[in-house]
Amino acid sequence: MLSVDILLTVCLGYVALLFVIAFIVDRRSRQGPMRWLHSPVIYTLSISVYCTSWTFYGAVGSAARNGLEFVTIYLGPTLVFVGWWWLLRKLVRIAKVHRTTSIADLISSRYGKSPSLAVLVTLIAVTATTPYIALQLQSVTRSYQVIAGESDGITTAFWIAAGMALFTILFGTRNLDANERHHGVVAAIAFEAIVKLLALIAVGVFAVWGVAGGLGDVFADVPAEAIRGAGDIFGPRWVTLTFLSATAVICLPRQFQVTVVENIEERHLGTASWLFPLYLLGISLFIMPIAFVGLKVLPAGSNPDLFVLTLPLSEQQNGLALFAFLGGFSSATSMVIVAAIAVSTMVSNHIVMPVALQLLSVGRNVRGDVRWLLLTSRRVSIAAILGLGFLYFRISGGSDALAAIGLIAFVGVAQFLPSLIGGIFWRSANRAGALTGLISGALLWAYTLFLPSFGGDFIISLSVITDGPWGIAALRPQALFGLTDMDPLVHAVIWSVGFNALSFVIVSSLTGANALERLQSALFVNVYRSVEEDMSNVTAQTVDTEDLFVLAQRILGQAHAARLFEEMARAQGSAHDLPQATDTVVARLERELAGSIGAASAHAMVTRITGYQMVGMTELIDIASETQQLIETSRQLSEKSAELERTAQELRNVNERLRALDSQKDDFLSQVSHELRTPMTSIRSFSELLLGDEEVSEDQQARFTSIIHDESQRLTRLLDEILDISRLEAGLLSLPLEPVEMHAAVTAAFDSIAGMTHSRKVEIDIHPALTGLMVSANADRLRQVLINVLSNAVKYNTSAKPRIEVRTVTDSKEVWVDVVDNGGGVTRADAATIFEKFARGNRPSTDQGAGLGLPISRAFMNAMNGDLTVEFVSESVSFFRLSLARAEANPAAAQ
Amino acid sequence: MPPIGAIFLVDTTLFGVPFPLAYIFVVWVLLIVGGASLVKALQDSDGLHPTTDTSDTSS
Repeated sequence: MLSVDILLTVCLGYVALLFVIAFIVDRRSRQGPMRWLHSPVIYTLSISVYCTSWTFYGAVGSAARNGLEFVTIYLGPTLVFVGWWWLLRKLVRIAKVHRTTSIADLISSRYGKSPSLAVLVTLIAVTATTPYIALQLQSVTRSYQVIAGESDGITTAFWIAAGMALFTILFGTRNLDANERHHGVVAAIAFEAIVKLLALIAVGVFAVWGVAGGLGDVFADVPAEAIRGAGDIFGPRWVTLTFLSATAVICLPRQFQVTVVENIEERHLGTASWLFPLYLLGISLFIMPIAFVGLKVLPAGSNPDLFVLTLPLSEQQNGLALFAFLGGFSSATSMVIVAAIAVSTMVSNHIVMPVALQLLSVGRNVRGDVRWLLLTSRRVSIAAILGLGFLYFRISGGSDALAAIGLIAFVGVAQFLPSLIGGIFWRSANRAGALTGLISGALLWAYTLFLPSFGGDFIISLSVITDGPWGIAALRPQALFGLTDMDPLVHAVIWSVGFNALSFVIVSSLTGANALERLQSALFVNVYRSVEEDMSNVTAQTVDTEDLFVLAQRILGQAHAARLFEEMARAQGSAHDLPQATDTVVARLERELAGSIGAASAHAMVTRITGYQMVGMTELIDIASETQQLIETSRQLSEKSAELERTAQELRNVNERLRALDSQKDDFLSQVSHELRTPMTSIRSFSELLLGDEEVSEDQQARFTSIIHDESQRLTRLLDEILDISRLEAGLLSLPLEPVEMHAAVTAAFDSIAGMTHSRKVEIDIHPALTGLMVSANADRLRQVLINVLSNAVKYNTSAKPRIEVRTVTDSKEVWVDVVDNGGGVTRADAATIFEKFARGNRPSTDQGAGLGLPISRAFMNAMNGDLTVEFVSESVSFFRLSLARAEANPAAAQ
Repeated sequence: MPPIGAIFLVDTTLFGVPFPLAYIFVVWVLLIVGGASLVKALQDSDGLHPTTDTSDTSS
C-alpha cells in the first residue's frame, strides 16, 4: 500500500507534466512548424491511444481467463496496418481534401452532406463511447483502490471523471483549429504511449525474471488448455474478435481522430504501417507471462484484471507498482481525452450547432458569436460525455470484466464500417442505404449486446434477457430468431453488422441518389483524381462578400478570416481587402468552415447566405467524366475497329488488284512473245531458204522476199501498236485536239482500205452525208481508229455481198458514228473481251491481227474525250459506235 | 479459421515458451518485417508520394 498523499502527489505531478508538454507544444506550434512533432514516430505513438487501460489491465485479465484470445485485439489492427494501409491512406486523403473533422463528418459529407446521417453517426458514437469511457473510469478507480486502499469507488470515479473532463476541456478546446488538429494533445499522448509501454514491460520483466525464474519457469506446469483458453482457438470467436478489432482501429472515433484527422503527412502512414504493429507486439509481449505468474503467485480469487498492480505490490515493489499505476493512468487518460475531443466535436458540429444556428438564425442578418458558441458547446459536450461514462459506470456497477465492456464498444462502432467502406469504394452507395444500414445495425447492436450488458438494470429486464419479451423465446436478445448456443458477441456481430451491411447494399441498389450525393460519391471514390480541384462552380449567385466575411469571422476568428479573405483577394488580383464573391471564393470558404464545424453545417450556413446549392464545376466534371470516358473509350474502340476493317479491306483489294495486274502482265508478255514469234519465224524460215544451197527460182525468190517484207511490216506494226498501247496506258501519250471534218476522216479511211474493199467488192453506204460535220479529235488518230474499225468490218465479213454502212447521229454536243456491216456482227460473249489486249473475236477471218487494234482504238477514242463501243440491235445484230464531241468549224483548218 | 492454424496447436514448448504462443508471435514479427519491407519498396519506387499538407493553417 502507498499513502494516498504520495499517490495524489504523483498523479497530480504527472498530470502537470502532461499539461506542460501540451502547453509548450501548442505554443511552439503556433510560432512555426515543429520538426520533431512532424515525425512519423510521434504520429505512430499517438495512434497507440488504441491501447487503453483495457489493454493495460484487461489484457492480462483476458489472458488469465481465456489464454491466447487476448492477442486477437492486437492482431486485427496489425492486419489493417500491414495489409490495409492503402485504405487508411484513402481516408486520410479524403479527410485532407474535404477538411473532414470526424468520422460522422466524413460519412455525412460522403452521402450528400446529410445532417440526419451526421446526427445518427454521432448518436451511435456517443452510445458506443460511453461504456468505453466507463471502462477507463472503472480501471483507474480500481487501480487507485488497490494502491491506496480506499473503498468508495463511486466518489473516486467521480473525481477522476471531473479531472479528466477538466484536462480535456483545457487542452482540447483551448481554441478552434481550422482542421481540428491538436498538436499539444498529440504530443502529450505520444508521451503517454511511451510511459504505458515502459510500465508494462517493466512489470513483465519483473514478473518473468524477478518473481519467476525465467520464461521456462513461467510456463512450467501451465496446462495447454490455459494457453489455448476455454474457447476454440482460431474458432468463430477468434475470427469475430479479430474482425472487430480490425474494424475498431478504423471506426473508433478516437482512432479516426488520431489516424486520419491529426495526420500531418500522408507518408507517415508508411512508417505507422509497421511501427504501430511493432508497438502492439511490444505491449503484448509480457501479457501472458504476467497473467501466469500472477495466477501462480497471488492468492486464489485475486482479480486478474489487476495483476499488473497486485503482482509488484505483493512483492513489496512499491516503486514499480506506482510506475505501473501511472502506466494504467496514462492509458486511461489518453483514451478519455482523445475520445472526448473526437465525440464532442461530433456532438457540437452535428447536433448542438445546427440547433443553435436555427435558434439564433445566425446567417445573413443576425449577430452572434459563433466561435464562443462552438467552444462552449464543445466544452459542455465533453463534460456531458464524461458524465455519461460515469453514469454507465454507476448503473452497470462496474462489476463486469474489462474486456467485455470494451467489446461492446467495438461492436457499436463496427456499425460504421459498411457505410464507410461502401462510401469510399462504391459509387452507387447512397444516403438511404447508409441510413437504413446504420439504423438497423445500431438497433440490433443495442438490443443484442448493449442493453443486456446492464444485466437487466437498464431499459430491459432480466426476464426479457433470459425469456424474451412477452416470453417469446425467438426474440431473446442473445438468441435472436433461433440462433442459440452461440457466443453472445458472435451472435451480436452476425445480427447487427450482417443486417447492417445487407440492408445497406440492398437499399443502395434499389434506390437512387440526389445530385449532391452523386457528386460527393464521385469526389470520394475518385479522390486521387481530384486533389487539386478547381472549385469553380456553375451556380450564378449574387452574394455580398461582406456577409461571407462576417460569417467567416464568427467561425474562424477575425485574424484567420481576414487572412483567408486577403489571400483570396490577392489570388483574384484585387486591390481591395475583400475578394469578389465568385463561386470559387464561396466554395473555398465552405471548405474552410467545414474544417471547423463539419461539412454539413458549413454547407447549410453557406447555402443560407448564397441561397443556392453549391455544385462545383469539378464535381460535375468528375461525375460526367466517368460516363464520358466510357462512351469515349467505346467510341474510340469502334472507330479503331472500323478503321482496321477498312484498312484490311483496302489491303485485300490492293492485293487482289496486284495479283490481277501481275497475271495480266504475265499474259501480256506471253501474248507479245507469241505474236512476235510468228512473223519472226516466218522471216527466219524464208531467209534460210534464200540463203540455203537449194536452187530457188526467181519467182520463188520474189515471193519469199515479198513474204519477208510483209512479215517485217507486220512486225513493225505490231511493235508500233505495243508501243502505242503502253504509252496510252502510262498516260504518256497526249493527243492535241482540233476540229476535224468527219466526212474527210471517213473518206480518207475508206481510201486507205480501198484495196480490201475493191477486192471483196464491198458496197459502201454513208448516210446522211457528213459534209460540214465537225468533231473535236486528232485527225491522224481518228483516221487510224476508223481504218481499224472499217478494215475489221471487211476482214471479218463472211457475207457473199459484203456491205458496210456508216450512219451518223448528232445532237448539239455529240456525234455518234455507227459502223454497221452485214457480216454477222459481234456476239455478246465477244463484246465483253474484244477490247482487251490480244483478244480476238470468234468470227472467221483470213487475216487475223494481233488483237491489239480494238484496245488501241478505244484508248485513242478515250484520249480524244470520246469512246468506242459495241451496240446491239438484237442478239445477233450489232455494230461499232464511235462517240465524239462536236466542234465548231475552225476557219483556219478549213482553209 | 483455416485448418493450418490448428497445425501449430501442439502441446510442446520452444525455448520454454508454449508452441502456440511462440507461433503467433513469430507470425506477428514476420508480418511486421514483411510490412516494413513492402513500405520501403513502395517508397523507393515512389509508390507512396510524400504529400505536404497545406491545409494546416494554425501554425
